[in-house]
Amino acid sequence: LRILVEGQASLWFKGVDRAVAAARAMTEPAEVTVVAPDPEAAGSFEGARVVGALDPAGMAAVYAEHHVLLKLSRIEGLALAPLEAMHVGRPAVVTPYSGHDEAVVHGRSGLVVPFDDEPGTVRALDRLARDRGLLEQLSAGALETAARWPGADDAATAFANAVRGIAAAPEPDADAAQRDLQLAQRRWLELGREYGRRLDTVHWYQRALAESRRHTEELNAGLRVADTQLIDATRTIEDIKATRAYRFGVAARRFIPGRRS
Amino acid sequence: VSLDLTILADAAAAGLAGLDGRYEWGSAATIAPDTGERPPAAATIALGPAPGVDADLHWLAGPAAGDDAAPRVTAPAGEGLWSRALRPARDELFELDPPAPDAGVLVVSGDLKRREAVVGQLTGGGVAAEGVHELTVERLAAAATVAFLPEEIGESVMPATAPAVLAARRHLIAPRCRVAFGLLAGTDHLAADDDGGVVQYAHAVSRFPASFRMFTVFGRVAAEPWRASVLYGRVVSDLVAEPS
Repeated sequence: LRILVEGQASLWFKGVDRAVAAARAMTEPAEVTVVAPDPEAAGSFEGARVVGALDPAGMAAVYAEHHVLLKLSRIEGLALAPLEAMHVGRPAVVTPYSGHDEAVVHGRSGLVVPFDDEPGTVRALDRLARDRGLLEQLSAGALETAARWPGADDAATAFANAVRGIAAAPEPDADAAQRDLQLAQRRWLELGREYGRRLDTVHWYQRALAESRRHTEELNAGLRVADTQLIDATRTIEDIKATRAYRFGVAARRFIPGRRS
Repeated sequence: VSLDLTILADAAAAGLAGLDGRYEWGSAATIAPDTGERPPAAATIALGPAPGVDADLHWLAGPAAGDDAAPRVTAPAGEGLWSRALRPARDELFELDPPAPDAGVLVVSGDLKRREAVVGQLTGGGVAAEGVHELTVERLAAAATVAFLPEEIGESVMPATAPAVLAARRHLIAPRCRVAFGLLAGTDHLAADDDGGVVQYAHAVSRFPASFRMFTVFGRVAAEPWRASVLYGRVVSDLVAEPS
């Protein structure tokens, strides 16, 4: 199964790491490509090819090279990548992030897997790898979804109409907005206090850790000095043992009454 | 294709994670595990280990031990899982009435001693609080905030009933977890590292409920993917498509 993971890995909410890990955990053979807006910053993934910085035609070609799009984001505003993939007839396996349901219907145009569900994601991918009939069925559903999606001109017209509608509507209640703002400020104040308390604790541990490191370095330095002294003392003892006087003394002890050699 | 689902659950699990009715994908009925005659169904899901209960899937509230005899197990943690997930939130919870103005904090933990200590600190600080070992829909309806105590040792697992709390627009104070199932600490819930953190957050939320109202708004949004009629629909279709 050729799997395309779309997203900038450096953005935590894109779930790129989790997607690559799930693809690598599959039982069925799979090829994985990560496509990112900035491939230089995407890093490297064992067993996966990284491409990116592509123009629309390049992106369409990458989507078409793969069987399925894997997108395990936590948050999105729109299911943009699945919609793009669907325009070339590729279904998507996605988490239920905000906006996913505008494009992906489970079992119709893709598969939806729970957040952080690696076993479920691996199972879904293996199922697609084994069941090419399901893959074809989802691809057909993907094309149907894409055909229903408005084009750029339709979307621009709808947006312009929405803005005109807002402009023509009565002005919103400024007092209510002010009250909401005050509540938000209070909330951030309380959370800020809590964060400050936590930060104090973190700083205390950081200071304690730095102090422990200093003590460890001091002890290590002391240990090194003691090691040197021990080596010197050992050498001195060996030197003494090598002297004739010492050897004579040892030999003479044997003749002291009551002493054994 | 219409799919019929039977859910086997005791009263507590049924109230929070059950489903009854007809939906676009089929129908669902929640019955007690010891019900003699089960309705015909395309798939049966047991909420709990239910030893000896025959079901296509066992959906556990806690980590799977790994020695479960069931062929397919869903749980928030564990080895050999069919799926790693929290439990669905019953649809009716999304329409639950807001909490009463004097509603307090519900502290949920199996550890009686810690539970009582946290409740004691809260009530000592003038915050209405009650401790229970298990969440039920009645307790949830009576509370404004639900706090699950973190593990004292080792990594905490997100409580399987967290989506039910968020669906009901109650404040959720949960343990800080590495695996949070899409929930965002500081946005839809508050994440506490220890019992002291639970007390601080519960106190702040109770003193300034309006300031923390946004958490319940985002919480309800975060609970949507866990809506029982949506989640069970997907699961039953997978169970039928992937016979064990």
